[in-house]
Formats: sequence, C-alpha cells, structure tokens
Amino acid sequence: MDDYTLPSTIWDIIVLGTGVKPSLLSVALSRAGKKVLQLDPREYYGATETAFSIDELEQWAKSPLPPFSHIGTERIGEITRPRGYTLALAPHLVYWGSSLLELLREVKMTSSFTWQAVGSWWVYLPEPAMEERPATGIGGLLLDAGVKAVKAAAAVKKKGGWNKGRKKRKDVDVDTEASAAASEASKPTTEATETQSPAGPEAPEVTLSDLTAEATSTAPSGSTLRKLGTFREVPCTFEDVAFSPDLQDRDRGYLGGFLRFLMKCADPTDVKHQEILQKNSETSFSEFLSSEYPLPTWTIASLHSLTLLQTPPAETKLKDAVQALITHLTSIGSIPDIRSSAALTIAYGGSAELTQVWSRGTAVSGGLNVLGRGITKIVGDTVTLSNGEVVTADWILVPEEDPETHETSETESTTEATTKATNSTVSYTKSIHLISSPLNPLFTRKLETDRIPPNAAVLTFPVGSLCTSAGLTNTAPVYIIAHSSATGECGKDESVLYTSTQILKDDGGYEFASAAVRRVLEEIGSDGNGTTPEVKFVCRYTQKFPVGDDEEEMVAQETEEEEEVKGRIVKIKGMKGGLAFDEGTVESCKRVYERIIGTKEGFLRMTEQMRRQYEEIEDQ
Amino acid sequence: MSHPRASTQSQRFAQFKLVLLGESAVGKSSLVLRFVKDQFDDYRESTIGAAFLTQTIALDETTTVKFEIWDTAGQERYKSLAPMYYRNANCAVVVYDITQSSSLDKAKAWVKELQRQANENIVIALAGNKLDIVTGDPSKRAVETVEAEAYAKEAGLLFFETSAKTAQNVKDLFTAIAKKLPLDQPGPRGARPGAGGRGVDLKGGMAAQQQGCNC
Repeated sequence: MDDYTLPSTIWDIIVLGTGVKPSLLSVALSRAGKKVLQLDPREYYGATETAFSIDELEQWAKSPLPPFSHIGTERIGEITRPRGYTLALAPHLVYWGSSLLELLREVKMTSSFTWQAVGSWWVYLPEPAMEERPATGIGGLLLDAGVKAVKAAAAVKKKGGWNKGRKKRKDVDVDTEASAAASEASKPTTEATETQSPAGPEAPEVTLSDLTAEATSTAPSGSTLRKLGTFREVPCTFEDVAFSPDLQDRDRGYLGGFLRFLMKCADPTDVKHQEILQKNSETSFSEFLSSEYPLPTWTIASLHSLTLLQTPPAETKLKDAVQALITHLTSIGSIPDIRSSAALTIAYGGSAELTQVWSRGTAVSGGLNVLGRGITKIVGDTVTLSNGEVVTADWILVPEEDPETHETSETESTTEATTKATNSTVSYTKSIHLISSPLNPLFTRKLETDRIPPNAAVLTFPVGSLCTSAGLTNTAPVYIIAHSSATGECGKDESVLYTSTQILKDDGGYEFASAAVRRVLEEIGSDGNGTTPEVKFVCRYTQKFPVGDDEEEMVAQETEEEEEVKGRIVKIKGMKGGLAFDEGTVESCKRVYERIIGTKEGFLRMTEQMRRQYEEIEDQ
Repeated sequence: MSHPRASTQSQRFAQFKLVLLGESAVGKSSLVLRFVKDQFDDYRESTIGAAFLTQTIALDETTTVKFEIWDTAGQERYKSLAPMYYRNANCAVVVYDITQSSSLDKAKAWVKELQRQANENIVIALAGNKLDIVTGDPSKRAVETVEAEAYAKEAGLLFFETSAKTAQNVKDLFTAIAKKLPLDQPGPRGARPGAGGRGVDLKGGMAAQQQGCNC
C-alpha cells in the first residue's frame, strides 16, 4: 500500500527474495532469534515458485523476465471467476521419504499445509509400442527361478504390503528398510507365509483382516494394474510385476530382478551392488537395462517415467535413474492413508504454499516481510533499498541468479568474489492447462484399503509417442502432472494439467504438450457420449533452471569467507527444475544456516514460547 | 479413529481460509485469540508462532466448519499483505476500532482491495471492535453504529460490533460467516463431502509412518 519506512535500520540478516529457499532461510533464521528483513522487488510472494490466478498469470505473461521466456496465455472457454484459481508455477511432488517432509514433521509444521496424494503413474502406450523389444536379449540363466521369486515376493507383499506392517524404529534408516524389503523379497515361498506379521505389542491396527482384504483385492485377476484407454499404469511394486497382464513370464523375471537390484543399491553397505552401480554410473539407463535386464522397450519407458527425469532413457545416467527410482520405491506403500501412493502434493499451489507459509512464519516470529522493494546497492554491511532507504545487516542473502533482483546486486567487488559458481543451466518447456472436466478416472482409489482417493496423477508420453503437424516426433518424454479440484487450484468440475518437457519451443515443445493434453482429454476425459472436454485456459512458458551439484555453492561461499568482509553476502542458488521437490533444498539451506548460526542443530525449530503456545492450542 | 470428520457421507466438513485485515492496534489478534482460545490478554504477544491458527465450529449436527485463520502478524504495512496472502481466502474479517474514526477509512480501503483482487466468492465481514470501551464510556465512540451498518449494507458485508475483551458478538461474528459461506459450492478451500478432499493425514508424522496406522 503506502511506502512506509522500515521500523529499524539495523538488521541481523537481510534476505532478498521470497522463493522457496529464501523463505525457508528467513523463517529458520527468524526462529533462531535473528532479526530478519525479507524483501522482494516483486509485488507477490514466491518468486519463481509462486502461484497465480488467471488474471495474474495473464498480467505476468505480458512482461516475461528471466528465467522465464516465451510466455503465452490463451482463454478458450468461458471463465466466470478468474480470480478463484490458484495455478502453480512449481506444482512439485513431495515424496513421502523426502527430506522436506522429514523436516516439516520434525518441526511440527506439516499441519500448516493441506496435503493431497499423488496416485498412479500412467504411461501412454499404444498397442504397436507394446510389441517392440530391444535388439539385444541375452536371456536370463535363472529365468524360471526369477519368475518364481517374483511371485513369491508378491505373496509377501500381499501380506505385508511394501513396507506395510513392519515396525520401524524412529531413527530407522530408509536404506536399511529398503534392503530388508529386498532380502525379504528374495525369500522362497515357504518362508514367505511366515513373515506375514511381526505383530508385537505396538503392532499397527492394519493387520490380518485388512491384509487379507487387500490380498483378495489384488488376487491374480489382473486387477492390480489398470488401463485407461491407451494409458497403462506403471508397474512399480512386486505385486504389480507379478500380476500385470501386459508382462510375459520372462519379463516378470527381469523386472522383478531389476526391482531387487534397486533395493540392493539402496543399501550403502551392499558393496557388490555399490560397485556395479559405480562401474555403470555413467551408462545410460536404457543401455544398462537392455544388457542386464532385457525388457521390452515399453517397460523401459514406463520404468523411466517413475524417475520423473526429463532426459530420454537413452540419455539418462544410470546413477540418476537409480537414485530417483529408489526414492520412489522406498516411499510407496508408506503413506498410512493411501498405500498405493508414493508422493504428495501441497494443495493451493504446490511449493507456492511453502513460500507463503514460511514468509508469514518469518513475520510471526518477529521478522518483517516487505514486498515491492529490492536492493540497489550493497557496500560492506550497508544496503541501499530501491526506495532509497539505507539499512545495515550482518548477513545479506541474495539469489544467485535472479534477474528481478540482479540489477540490485551488481555492486561492489565483494559480491563478485561469490559469483564464481557455475553458470550452467537447463531450460524446460512448461504449460498449465485448465480442463473443463474433473477427469475422474485419474483420481479413483487403486486399493480397497486406500482411505482416500488420490488427487493428483502423473502421465508420461514416452519418446516417439507424440507427433506434431510438421511430422516431428518427441525426442524426450513429455510429462503431465494432473491435479483434481481437491487441490484447490480450480473449480469442482474442472482439473488442471501441468506439462513439462525438455524439448524446447522451437523444436515443437509447446505442440507436443498440446498433443499430450489432447490425448488425455480424448481417452480419459470422454464421457462415453462422444463429448470430449475442452481446454478452457492455457499458459505456456519456458523456464531456465540451475544444474550441477549444490557443492559448488559451498565453494563459492568458501572463497567469499576468505575475504572476511563485514557485510557478508551469501548467494543462494535457485531450485532445480525437477518435477519433484528438489531434494537438495533442505540441506543447502541448512548449510547456509550453519554458516550464520554456527550449527545446523535446531534448524526451523519452534522457539520455546511458540512451542508452549502450540501445545496449549493442541490440547484443546 | 483419527478421522471422525470423514465418517459418513451425510456429515459435511468444510475448511475455509479466513484472513484478518485492518489497521494496527484495532484488535485483530485479540479477536482471533478470543475466538480460538476464548482468552483475552491485553499484553499478549501480537501473534502466535504458526503461520495461522485454526478453530472448528459445529454449525449444526451434520455440519462442521473449520477456519484456518491468517493473522496479519503486524505486517499491515510494507505491502506484505499481498494478493497472495488473501487470494485463496474464502472469507475476510476487516476490523476497525469504533473509538478511532480513521480506522474505518482504512477498513474501507481494505474492503475495496478485497472486492477488486480477491476470490470473487469471498465473504467479507466488517467488525467494529472495542465495544467494551464504548459501553463503559459512550463519549469514546467515534464511529456511529448506523453509519458503519449503512456502509456494510451498501458494500454487501456482514456487520458486527464486537468486544474481544468481553467476548460480545465474537462467536456470532464467526458463526455468521460460517453460515454465509457456500458450503455446497467449491471454493479454493471449500466444502468436501466425505473423505474425498480432506487430504492426507500427516498428523503424528513419524508415528504414523512408523506404525503404519495411527488410528
């Protein structure tokens, strides 16, 4: 509103930006008792991770600033209440086993958000694609044994679920857990029946009756893996593998073998598998699979979709794929409300909600949020703000690459020392489609034991499955993250499809996205009377993301520390462009926090007073 | 069971985001504190630690409404109550102090901004706080009830004069909002029959993860 002057000119920390990382740092430092001033030259929270109403999105599209480019919006259908929508620029998936959830649980912040489950992964596989096999095919020596083992493992899974019913200690290591699952999976049938229930004193309520029900529901009737038109559910558990009607027995053996391989790779103490992984880390995902587990091409594509990686399987490094797959497999089956799910999404705008809640958190613990104000000059510990005000701070946190704040920080030589970090970036083509149908088939329960339905789903279009009018086919997968109206992002009879691909606009990126959306509408949206839902609104854009290791950020910081300047500047790297919440985020913020506070201990923890008030309220 | 709210289809459970707006020191936090905890503390820290507070009220035997209340956290200035702060709000309480006429002007400015920027379905209530002061000493009144009421009517707002200190009209204010909210119409945060939209329960966090089920 008005251009008020600040209540103080002396601050402990100035944080520039309200994206995920700056907001997390602001609230954590503020809760640690630091006097934090959080600024953003923009008029809204969330920076590149924000969410917009349709009106705002249209406004934003008019003057694109890096890292965004080629933004276009189009209203196609009638939109009666454009301000009621919350369309996310960062509709990240949050895996159950992610460090973000771990942090939020630890500081009792999960209830600040509404979480919706991400249901199944679907892959677009027209019949001809199902026939294809890679040229290779060594054939497994112990093929029959392999098939038997998978089916036996599935029997265990039916009793125990993937991780289900197994007691966990609070500090249990996911990796250990994973290897336990793997070793259990390789047990022969006779033993399998005995491992069904470690029903100790704190045994969970989900025991025999529930599990029997589940076993019945997932009996080998082929009901485990569903099909929606040409979209097939991706097999990702031993049950799925054992009972998929699309798999031949020998493929079951390979796929089961590969799943076991992954679970073993998840165990850092399994030297043999760590070595295999090490040796093949740069090998491509598809090359490794076709030589070690010669599966049909479609299976490779569908397994690859679980990685959420934008590179095609032939250009995806094995180490990246394995890491992503382990995250998926160790998360699936752990969510008490919905066993068939591996990940969550934050309602009302994805990661934008994080930025809003954390920025507010800064304010409620004594900090100050100021929007519409940036930094024009930093000299030592003295900072000039865009309205001419001059303030001082011990630490100044600025985004590494943020054009909206860039003019602000090209200042004295002190900042130059820190810009050494890599400039490598990658661009993805994205779109937001508002659909005139709730697309219900995507949001139905998979298992009878699921207490709630999923409200998000992932759809993947493998390499070569889409075609532009000019005859181009897609050279990389195209992903769609589908959100139902329960995410609060659209109206009741609508849904939102967020697309993402590494194929750039000039190579048909936008066209592939439209083609993919059209496929979904035709095959999943049709109501049976031949009516296909329509796209009511679309926004397409291209976004640049940083790549590389977070370690480089550290190097930059070290260099700077040697300078021992008084007003110390820390450059904060942006989030990576993955579809899942960037796993490095929490750790990278903790490192910055450690530099300032001296320890990572207590990061984001409530202050004593807050904790007391929290408990009082909880008691009611 | 941990999910009574979702027990039967005939039960209606709705969650709404409510934002408080108004000039500093009109008693926004006190109103929330009275509503949420039935307390009043003159010297209370302005806002409690979480980003927002929640309070659930039962409208009738089958309808429960949960408010997610976003306080301003003393950030009335600095543009930090940006559209994003109230965008997916279903309701707003705009507060003024009946002993300060300038606070009503500020309230009117907020109403205007909400009507221009916020979700089109937003329910707005105007609350003239500090009724207890006027009850004790009528000469302290700076805003006449009829004047504010006429404005509220014209702008289509709910209207109450409240006292966070004595609790007068506080519950009525929130109940009136709950009644006016479109329970059957989807909003950004809206009514969800059954368990469909209640979301994943993460309460208990590790415990839930640990034991598989914390019912």
